[in-house]
Amino acid sequence: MESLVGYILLTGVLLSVALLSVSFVWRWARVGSLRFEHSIVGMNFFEFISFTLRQMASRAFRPRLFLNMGVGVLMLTPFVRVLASVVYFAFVEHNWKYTLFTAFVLSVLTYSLFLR
Amino acid sequence: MRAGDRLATKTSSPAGSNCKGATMVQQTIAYHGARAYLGGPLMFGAGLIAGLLGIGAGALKVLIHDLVMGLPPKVSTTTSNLIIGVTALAGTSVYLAAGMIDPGLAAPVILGVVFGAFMGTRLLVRLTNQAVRHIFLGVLLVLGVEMIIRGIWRIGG
Repeated sequence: MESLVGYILLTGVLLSVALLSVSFVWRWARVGSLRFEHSIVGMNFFEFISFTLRQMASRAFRPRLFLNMGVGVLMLTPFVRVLASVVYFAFVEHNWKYTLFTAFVLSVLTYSLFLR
Repeated sequence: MRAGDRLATKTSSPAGSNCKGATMVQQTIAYHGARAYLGGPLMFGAGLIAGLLGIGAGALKVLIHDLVMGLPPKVSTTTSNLIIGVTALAGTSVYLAAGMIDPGLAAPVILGVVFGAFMGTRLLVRLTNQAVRHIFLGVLLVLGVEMIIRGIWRIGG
């Protein structure tokens, strides 16, 4: 369990750092500045992620999207960790008490991510 | 060996499943997580304050772990670290939806903090529990004084 959670957290953080670093290097190479002037308005977390992914899927690669993705991945990391914990407690350990607690945390978290 | 640390030759204890072992550089410390019934409601308060003030509430959680639940400093620090992402995410999502997160500002902060956190965790395993506690007290003092000064200044302004 510990190694699973550790692996998820490390992967998420390293992926996020990589995306952010790429966006900064790219931005610097492109315009000679590290400033980003865009904002995220009127979107909840899942809309923000799907908006960024859709833009990336349409091959509109821009440093800005990598930056957004880096922030998104970092925010998604604890969510995935809780999700993995629920699955682990329920299907591997069959520990229903912990499954219940973790599922409650997951539901609160999911609800908060849908808020706008 | 510091006062307050309970050295154990084995990690099991009469409390059975409630007992966990925390491995240090050379020794294993047995401890009990106590008074979870108090810890839970107090953590609710810590979460409220985290959402209100944007401070992550790690300091409050470590205090509750330490004073109420009787966890050793390193266990407390690592537990707080593990949970803090979840606490912060619940609050951050509201700020994100309100358009209050500037990705251009957040990104350099993330890079800096992640680098610092990696260094800090490498350092944590080398420090004694007592040293961790002293550092934590120092940080708490600086945080408290800073918040009091800011509060007074805001009221005055």
